[in-house]
Amino acid sequence: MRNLYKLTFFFVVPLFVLSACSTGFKLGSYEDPYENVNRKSHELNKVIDKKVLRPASKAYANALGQKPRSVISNFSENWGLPNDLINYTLQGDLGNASKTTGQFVINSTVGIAGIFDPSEKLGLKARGTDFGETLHRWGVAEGDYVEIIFLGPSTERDAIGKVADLLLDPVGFVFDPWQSRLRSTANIGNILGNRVALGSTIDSVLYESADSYAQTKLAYLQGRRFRLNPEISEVYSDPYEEFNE
Amino acid sequence: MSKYLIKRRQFVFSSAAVAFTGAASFGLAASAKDAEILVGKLVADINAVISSGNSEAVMVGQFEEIFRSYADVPTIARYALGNDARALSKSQMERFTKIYSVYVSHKYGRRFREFIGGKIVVQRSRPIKSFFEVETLAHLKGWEPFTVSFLVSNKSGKLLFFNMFIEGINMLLSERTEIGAMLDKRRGDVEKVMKDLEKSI
Repeated sequence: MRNLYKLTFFFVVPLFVLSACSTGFKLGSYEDPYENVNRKSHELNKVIDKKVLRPASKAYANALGQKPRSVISNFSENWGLPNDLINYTLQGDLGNASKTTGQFVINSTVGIAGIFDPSEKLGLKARGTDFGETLHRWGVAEGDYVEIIFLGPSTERDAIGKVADLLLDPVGFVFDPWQSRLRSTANIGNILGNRVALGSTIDSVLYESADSYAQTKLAYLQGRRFRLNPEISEVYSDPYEEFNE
Repeated sequence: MSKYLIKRRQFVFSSAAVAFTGAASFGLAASAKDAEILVGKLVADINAVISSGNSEAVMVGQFEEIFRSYADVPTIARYALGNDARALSKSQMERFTKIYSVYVSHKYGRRFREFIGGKIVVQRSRPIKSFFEVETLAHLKGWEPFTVSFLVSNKSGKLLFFNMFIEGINMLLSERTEIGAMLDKRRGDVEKVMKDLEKSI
């Protein structure tokens, strides 16, 4: 009963809030009512990256070679798969749900608790998903753009999705404290590893552009919309037509 | 004799059709297939540079060359300026285009340098409005393959690409945002923007 109350509070209430404040899928909109607050979070996130994430990722890359880094990332990603499976199931995407299951079973057994990724060689690899995507498939609009301290760019819908993913994650219920600590450590390693891999792309957006906030927002919204809806993510503008106006 | 006549009539009709479509698209008829062939050549050139093993400086120079021969640089430059382009004199616009083309090709050249060890493969093409979209898939080491789309048009008088989408991220829009922010910071002074763009090259 108490669980039901929790469920109502975390899912149903925000869903109503979301559907009340956002009307339909705003194709290609970049409106930004929270810009003032967002810009402040952005500046803070830049400081966090510059002082912590970026130097830590460099130290990580210096300390560990490509092989051990990928072992850590594989482990981290493998134990995120049950959460993907729940989301694909909620989305009614049985193809990806079974792919994710296969991937998880093979990597957890043959791949020794997920430190190797043999499923990739078998072509058994679903792209990742999250509760934000589940909400999208259920018809929830993306809401407004938000930049969250520590977590970075998001939308109202995807921010709720992130909270839901934390609460839904089945592995968290099964792991004992020691296993959870190991997993959290691997997750941090995975974050550092991604910062290494995306190094110069992130650097160019954050430190080399004239307005890093605007570039981050643009890249996030377009990338996210393309991922969720590749066919109609963008209305193609025609510069030749624009010049003739 | 009658066979010959029909053939001739068909010939007259089809050449009239070609002339008509040609006139409609500024004297140059193109198809999605032509756009696909262009992008095929473009990615073949990029792949050759990626696998050449040349130094970074040489590669950026080669990408600059590729950009110049396959992209409609004046259109990209003008779009990046947005409405401010209207206030520029003809000579200013020419200078801006020149500086901008070096700046932008270096910027994206550096990006493509990260593709070392990977390759880009053309997937499909389709007409949209008055232009064509050619979708390619970039296979990079350690990454899931991702989509890079090129928009191709012959409105400049030559078949060239005028926009590029990396996983849905619109190059023209990023560029307009960037140049717009630069102009804002310099109170709309395009001369200052040009000076700073030149410095950054």
